[in-house]
Amino acid sequence: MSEKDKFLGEFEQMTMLALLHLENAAYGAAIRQLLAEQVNRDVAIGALYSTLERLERKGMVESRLGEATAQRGGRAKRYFKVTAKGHSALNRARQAMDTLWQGLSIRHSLCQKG
Amino acid sequence: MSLYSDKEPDIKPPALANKVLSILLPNRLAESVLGDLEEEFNLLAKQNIKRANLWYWQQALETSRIYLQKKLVSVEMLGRLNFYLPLIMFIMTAGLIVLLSILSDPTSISDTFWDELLQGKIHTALFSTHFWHNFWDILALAEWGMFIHFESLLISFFSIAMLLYLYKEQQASITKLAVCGYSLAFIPYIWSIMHIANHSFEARQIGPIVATGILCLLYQLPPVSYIIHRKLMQLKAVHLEIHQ
Repeated sequence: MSEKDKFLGEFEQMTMLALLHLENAAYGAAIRQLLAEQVNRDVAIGALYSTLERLERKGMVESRLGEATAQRGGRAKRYFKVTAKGHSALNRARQAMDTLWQGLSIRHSLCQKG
Repeated sequence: MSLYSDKEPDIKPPALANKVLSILLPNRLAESVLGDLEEEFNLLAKQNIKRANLWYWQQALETSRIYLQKKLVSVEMLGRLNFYLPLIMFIMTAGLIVLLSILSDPTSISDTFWDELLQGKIHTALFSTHFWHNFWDILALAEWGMFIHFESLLISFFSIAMLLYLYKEQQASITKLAVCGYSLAFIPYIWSIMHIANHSFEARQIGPIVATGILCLLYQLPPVSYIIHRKLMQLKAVHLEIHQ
């Protein structure tokens, strides 16, 4: 695994957190809706799947085909789940951000610069 | 769990957008992506069909753009480019080498070809219709002796050794390998043109310098293409392993 594959981008983290929130119901449309409603990120379904594919390649996410419904034109859903490796990567990313944020606030740093 | 009710919808998403998506999406994802889009489309269509159609087209166009871009830089596409482009360049280079060896009247190629040849620019023959009209006749005059040149073989050997060293390094990306490989193949020819431009050589001295540059290109194209092909196959194997 290359060095850059160990780190998560902002949208990758958001997507993985959405999967954790949705638990066993994490499929494309549901993830897209959650991101749009909760964090105002109204992304194209292609951008979402592209990110999920990349996370799958990195081993952070796994997927399985689910049931088909009439609302989907009889097409099956693909459910996504965060792997153990994905959990560790998310924790690492959070710890890194917490460390960097310690003792800082945007207002504080802006005042100091001013 | 579904986001919406189980009632069968009557309205269908735009067929053309669906068709474009089915062509561009990878087989593994097509069903899920189209299903997700149709599910959200049905919800929007219950409120406003025009807005739903517009939303569907926006999603389809953005998704098509993403997957078209992916397709263009896919392993298969790069593999085809890495095979056909060097093959075409190899045949053209062989034609230029034969031309350099047999040329008795440079004006038959073009009025300015003799001046260009004195600057080492044998590639300008590629812009001549005469060259292309007689291309296969020129190639038919090829003899093995024209393609054997010790200095060019030596330069090519070291270039390929460098590329193999880079290839064996697991960190070397396909882009790095391709840029280095094809640069190493073209550098001797570019050097020959610059070398001629910076010195005042007599006409009879120019031929061997141009020959060194262009023969290096001929020798290096097949191994460079093969090494990149091997790297592409490694990439493909990794992709398949992930998707299984």
